[in-house]
Amino acid sequence: MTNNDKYRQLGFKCGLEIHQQLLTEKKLFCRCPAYYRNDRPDGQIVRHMRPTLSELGEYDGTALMEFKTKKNITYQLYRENSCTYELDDTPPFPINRQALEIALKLAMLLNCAVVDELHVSRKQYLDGSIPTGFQRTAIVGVDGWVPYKGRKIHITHLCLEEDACREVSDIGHEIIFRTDRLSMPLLEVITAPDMLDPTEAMEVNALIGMILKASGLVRRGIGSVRQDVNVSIAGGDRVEIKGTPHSWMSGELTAIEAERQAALLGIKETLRLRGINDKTLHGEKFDLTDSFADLKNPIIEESRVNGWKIKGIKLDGFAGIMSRPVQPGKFFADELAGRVRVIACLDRMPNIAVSDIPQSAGFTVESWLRIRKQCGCKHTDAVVLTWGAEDDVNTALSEIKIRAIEATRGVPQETRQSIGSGVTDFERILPGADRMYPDTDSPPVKITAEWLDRLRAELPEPAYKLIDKWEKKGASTDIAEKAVVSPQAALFDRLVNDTETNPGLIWSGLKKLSGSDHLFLNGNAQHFITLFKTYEAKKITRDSLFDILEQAGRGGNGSIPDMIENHALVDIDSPEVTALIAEFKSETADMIFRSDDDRINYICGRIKASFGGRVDGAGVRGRVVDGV
Amino acid sequence: MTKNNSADDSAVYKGYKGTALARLKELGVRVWSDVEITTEKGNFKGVILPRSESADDLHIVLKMHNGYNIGILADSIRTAKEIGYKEAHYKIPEQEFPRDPEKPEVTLLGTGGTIASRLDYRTGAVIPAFTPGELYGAVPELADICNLDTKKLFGIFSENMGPEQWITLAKAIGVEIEKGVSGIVIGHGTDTMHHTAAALSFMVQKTPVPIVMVGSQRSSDRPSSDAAFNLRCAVWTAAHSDLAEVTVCMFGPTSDKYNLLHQGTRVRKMHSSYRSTFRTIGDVPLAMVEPGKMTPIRSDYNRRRPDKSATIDPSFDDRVAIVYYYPNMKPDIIESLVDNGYKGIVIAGTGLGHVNKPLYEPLRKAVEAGAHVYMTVQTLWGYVQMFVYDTGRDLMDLGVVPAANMLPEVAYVKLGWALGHTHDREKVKEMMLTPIANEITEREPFDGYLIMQGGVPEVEEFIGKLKL
Repeated sequence: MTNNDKYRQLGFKCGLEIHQQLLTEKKLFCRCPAYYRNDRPDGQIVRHMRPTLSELGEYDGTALMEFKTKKNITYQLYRENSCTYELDDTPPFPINRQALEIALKLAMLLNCAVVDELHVSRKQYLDGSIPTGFQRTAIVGVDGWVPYKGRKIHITHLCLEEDACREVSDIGHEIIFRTDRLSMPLLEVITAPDMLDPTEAMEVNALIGMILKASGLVRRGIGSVRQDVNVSIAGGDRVEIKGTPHSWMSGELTAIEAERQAALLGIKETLRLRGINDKTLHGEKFDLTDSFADLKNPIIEESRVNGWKIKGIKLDGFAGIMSRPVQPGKFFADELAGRVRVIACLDRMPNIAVSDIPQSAGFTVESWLRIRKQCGCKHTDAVVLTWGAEDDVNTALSEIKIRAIEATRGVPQETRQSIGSGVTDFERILPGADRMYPDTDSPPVKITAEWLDRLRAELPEPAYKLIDKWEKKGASTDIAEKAVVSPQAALFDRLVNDTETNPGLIWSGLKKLSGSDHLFLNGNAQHFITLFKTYEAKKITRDSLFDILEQAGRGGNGSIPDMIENHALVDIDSPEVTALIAEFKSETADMIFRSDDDRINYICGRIKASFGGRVDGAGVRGRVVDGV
Repeated sequence: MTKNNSADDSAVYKGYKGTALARLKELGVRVWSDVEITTEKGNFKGVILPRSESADDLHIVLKMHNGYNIGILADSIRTAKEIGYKEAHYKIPEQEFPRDPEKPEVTLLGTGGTIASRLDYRTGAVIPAFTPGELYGAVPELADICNLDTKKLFGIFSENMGPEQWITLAKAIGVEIEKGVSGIVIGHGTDTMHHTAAALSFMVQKTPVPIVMVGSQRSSDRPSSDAAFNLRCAVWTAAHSDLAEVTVCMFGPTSDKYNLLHQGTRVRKMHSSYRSTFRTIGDVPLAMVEPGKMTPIRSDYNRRRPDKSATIDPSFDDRVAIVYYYPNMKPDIIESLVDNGYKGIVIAGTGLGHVNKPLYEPLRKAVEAGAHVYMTVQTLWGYVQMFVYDTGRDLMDLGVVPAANMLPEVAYVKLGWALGHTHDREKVKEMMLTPIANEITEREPFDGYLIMQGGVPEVEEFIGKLKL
């Protein structure tokens, strides 16, 4: 059984959410320039978030959870790229037309049905990452696809939305955000759960990323694209893993998440056999602050100094569960710790101690005996301790109970964050549709057939079609995939189409133009074609070809036709060459070489150099050999 | 589905008309239908939503199951299949407001506005949530402050507030004071909150309890709304502060830090959208307030009294206008006011209180015709000083009365209120120029005019350090 077969047996399913920044000058709902800053901010404001009702009358689960955390949210501001819109002190301006047109083009490129009328919605985020408390977002297209291994990977929908703030720090009840990234236009591509093993997740992630990049319509570089993966296995539930910076990480992340869900289902089965459910799990709570003053433990010591509370919760029937592995190096206890860290803001680890794990947070076996006795534990029960400010500790205990009850049901719907090596930690409850409501500040935008026709005419060919075409012309997959996302892609395509030169050689040549912009490359396309044809006709040497490309890439030494002229092959039978051969021969007559070959090579090299590479190497060699 | 006559259309096809309405009927689907639609472009699934009445008649709005809304061209729909029906009942969770005999009684008088609200997505409008139960559902912290009672006087946007509502409001406040409440909060849209605050300052004099006006700049249907904090601050001020004045209680800085209590006659909305839009003009605010704590800035305010009496003096002659002077203003502006029977004119003049020469003659005629003309400054800060230049003295000779540092809107409200009592020139002048609630002050403190300018090094340094 291959590794991938294993995931198929688990009923592995994975969907992708790819967030790609669009290449625009300005932000989506205001006229601030879209760029990052890393110097000292010019100012800052402080805000808080409260949950509100969605259109259908419900409080969203994520929204409520985030309200429990009661964070002071600081926003750092730059005068140059944050205005009153980023401060949520002014309503949105009309949606950025450039961004919308890019989004519409990408929707068509991804084979989506474009909506007839764009409706901006508000998606609530109470974590503070957006000062309004919601992200303005709109569906641009639905029902698209990309080709993969002879089948179609379905794209359920495509959204144009504003990017959120960058998080600077998150410590206890204080979270700091930077507003430069806020409101930059972002495209969200959401696929159906069509990926059936971790390799597919990784490959499709890369494929969609490539199509977007190859369009030339999106931003490049660090932070310009972020991937989320949604994973579930049979009997498990959808878990979203946020902010994977590289597509290649999605393979490992999804594999480990599948294992995690399998482990949680195992725990569920154990608890079911023990008869533990939301009725039988009482979760009795104990204030242990003053009970163990004599115990030697750094946490007890620290709590005394800080005036903290130490409290415990008895989890009926959970003995042995805490130490069950769920991820590499992570136990079920870490699932609880993650919740406590985020929801109770007890973010200094360790933040809990569990009776299943000896020496957990420094509590000795003897200490646990006393604690268990104090809490009236049966041998089947487990105890979880937590410590800190009383409000936070109370929140923590409630949350531990919630998570324990969820364990009796299997896999809770969560958003998790990658913490390296494919391992994840809790970030928040997975938000539902309840957090969506219409943005009354933005009027609907009509998307007419005429508008779409005009945009369609400007559409580049999708990357997968270009690659397919180039491969048929003899390009290797590796070169085709590199070329398609390069700035030289359009030029590469023309050269592959219009010349007979091997695509591998074309790519080697075009790499020398990596510093040039689109305007230069495409404006001179005809000259580049002439250049390669001149090379094919053997009117210039390969060295000259590369030399011209390198000079063009540096933007120097005149026009390309001039350079071709200057690099014209020298007639090796000319008197000039004859004279030089004679000169170098006499010059080297007294020099000692290891062999005649070395002597010939030396002379050929001198002649080549004298003509700047503009001589046919084999021809010169023939003439030099003649006389040696 | 059976055919509907047009009377039922608005109930079943909320907001749809024309082409879109006809297509919905042909397809046999209705608002709240959970549908699967096929179009020329592709397939869509979701719930058909009501359509805003101001939107076109070409599109159908679908709420997809992921929560997003999209619009689909009605004519492009080939088939639509109803697979369910999901009518939304949008409601703020209403719970009974807990009462505690130890806590002070506060009455919230509602006039409209968005202090607490929910969204009506038929029109995209925000509907106020108002009963104590609804408010408790939205801002449960209020129960820690007081026992809250609410009375809805009107449900109108603040731009539709006027003398009729001011009078009703003043009388309602009188009733509450007589009942012995500890304080009164008035929920109000922010646009004309300062007009109403001025009117109440004149119509409700010598109040024994705080009268606190409050609103919100970000509607309460959004998580970042200032509404809950404003309401908590205002209710706390009404319940517990010793500040027996008509005040406006709104954000101090744009951060969620503290609110300012502005005197009703010195406050003005100064930004169309900022949270900290209300500023005291020509003086410092009365106090800073946050739930649980008030820090006075001025000490000369009227203190809370145990009695239950106030002077309720509601009357208003609405034949008053503000004339905002601009260069090249023509005489007919003034003439048309007189011709239309206006009895009071408040001029917002340039600089120290000036208008151009061509207005002198119509102003003289206006005064002769019995109009009461008062001069204020469009600079908002500073006093009218008509002795400095000849032109000012000429205007006074015509009968134009300088109104010191009364704000133009406040002078408008006060002149209407004064003319509601008498048209006797000298009596009106005495009422206008005798301050009731600091609408005219004897002096402007050195820090009564502070408009910081961004970009100036000392301000940038200040802003960089502060969490504004």
